[in-house]
Amino acid sequence: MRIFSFILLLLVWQVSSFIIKSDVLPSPKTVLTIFFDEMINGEMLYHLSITLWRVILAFTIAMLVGTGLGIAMGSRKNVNIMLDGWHILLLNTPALVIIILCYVWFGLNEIAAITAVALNKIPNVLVTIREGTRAIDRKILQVADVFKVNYKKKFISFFLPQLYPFIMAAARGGISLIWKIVLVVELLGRSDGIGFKLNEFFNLFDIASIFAYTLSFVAVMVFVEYAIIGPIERRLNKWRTI
Amino acid sequence: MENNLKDKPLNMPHDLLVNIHEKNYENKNQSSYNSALKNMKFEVPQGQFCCLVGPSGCGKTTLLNLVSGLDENLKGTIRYQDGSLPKEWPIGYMFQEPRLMPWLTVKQNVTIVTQQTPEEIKLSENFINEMGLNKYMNSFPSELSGGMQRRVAIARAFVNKPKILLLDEPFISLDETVGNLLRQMLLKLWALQKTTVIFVTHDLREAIYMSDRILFLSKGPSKVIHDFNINISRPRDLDDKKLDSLRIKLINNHPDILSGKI
Repeated sequence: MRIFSFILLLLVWQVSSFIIKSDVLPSPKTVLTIFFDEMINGEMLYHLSITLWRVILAFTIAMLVGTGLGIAMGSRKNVNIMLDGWHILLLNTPALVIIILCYVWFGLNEIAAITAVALNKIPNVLVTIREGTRAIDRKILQVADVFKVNYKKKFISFFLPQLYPFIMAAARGGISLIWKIVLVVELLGRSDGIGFKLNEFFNLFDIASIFAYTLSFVAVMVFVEYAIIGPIERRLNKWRTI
Repeated sequence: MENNLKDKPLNMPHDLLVNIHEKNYENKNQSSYNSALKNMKFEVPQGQFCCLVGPSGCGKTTLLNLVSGLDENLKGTIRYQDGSLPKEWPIGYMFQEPRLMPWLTVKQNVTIVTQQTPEEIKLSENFINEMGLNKYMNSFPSELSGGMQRRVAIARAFVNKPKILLLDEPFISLDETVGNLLRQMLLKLWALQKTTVIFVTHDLREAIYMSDRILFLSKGPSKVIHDFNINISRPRDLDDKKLDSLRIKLINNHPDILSGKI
């Protein structure tokens, strides 16, 4: 069924490009030719790896900071009251505004780019993890207390596993949002990466290359979903499926 | 196996001395205080199986939380004879629910409360075997029945060689056959370990079968209203007429004792 739907998409694409006969909608064949040509002879792999690196870095920072703040705000009322206003402010600031401000304040450099992406994602991670922390089963933590489990083990073995579903939900939503924002950041202020190349192709009106580059990154993200996130999730949820 | 369970003899008696002047509960709605326990005083000699029986809501769970140190807010003292606090020593606790971690296997659920040394892992396996769960060592709690989950909780309660074992109506909501099997298993382990036990229940039949001594509690603010020794030799038979006649005698002498009046 999945394969059928994929073939149908290709077919519709091929037929419409045949009817339109314009550079605006290149045929799948043209895109694939450019894709492989860029991959083997061109700069695609270089830009792809740069973008991927930024995604990984921003994702890691956003998850760590968002999870830390989410746990703190979910478990301590005072921390929540203290930070909630800032959080709502950040959550509702448009991504573009954060990116522009980061570039203005920190300069057109890598740190500004990564910070901007992470800042865009942190509030979302925080919301999910805070809800998760509030849903923690205190009775399980009491078990750790009464058997005098040390603090580190209590956190890792009694507290954190209860948060895993929330962390996975935040990660899944996070990775797709982050790579979209990374492209905008690259477009606005970097001289490498897929976002930069897309802008270049846009100026040259090279739509086929835009398709080819998009395809490359979608392929990477599909790989990440099936080869990394999926297996981790299955492992963590082993006890549920039985 | 038995050597494993029996080593580390306790070298000096650690009778538990409970002396509570008052334990209050903050009433959030009225900003007033409700007294849960008042002038509660008793001693539990080391190794005794002591039952607490009282009407529901009389503060039995509160008392266990105070002994375990989960709740430290009280006027009064709960100490061993040598002045140490119960929480300074290993404690075993069985809650009303099994409270197993669903993401850990049976074996992991038991070893998680230990330091996970090779000896302790071996000991955990021994206890799980003793509970008749050797086939389920690597199963998850969701695959087990309620009675089996409680057996895991028993193993976990014993694995740290507790100086005191606190049991909060652990066999409630089990059918009689399963409940009786677990009672026997608990007594068997207790006979090997000789740890002090405080067992909370409102089932008089269960209390008489299990314990050396029953403390009857009044309604809140609760205190000890009757101290009743049971001198029937062990191992006891559930169908022993002596157990039943003891219960009937007790009820005849104090008809309202289960509702907290003497």
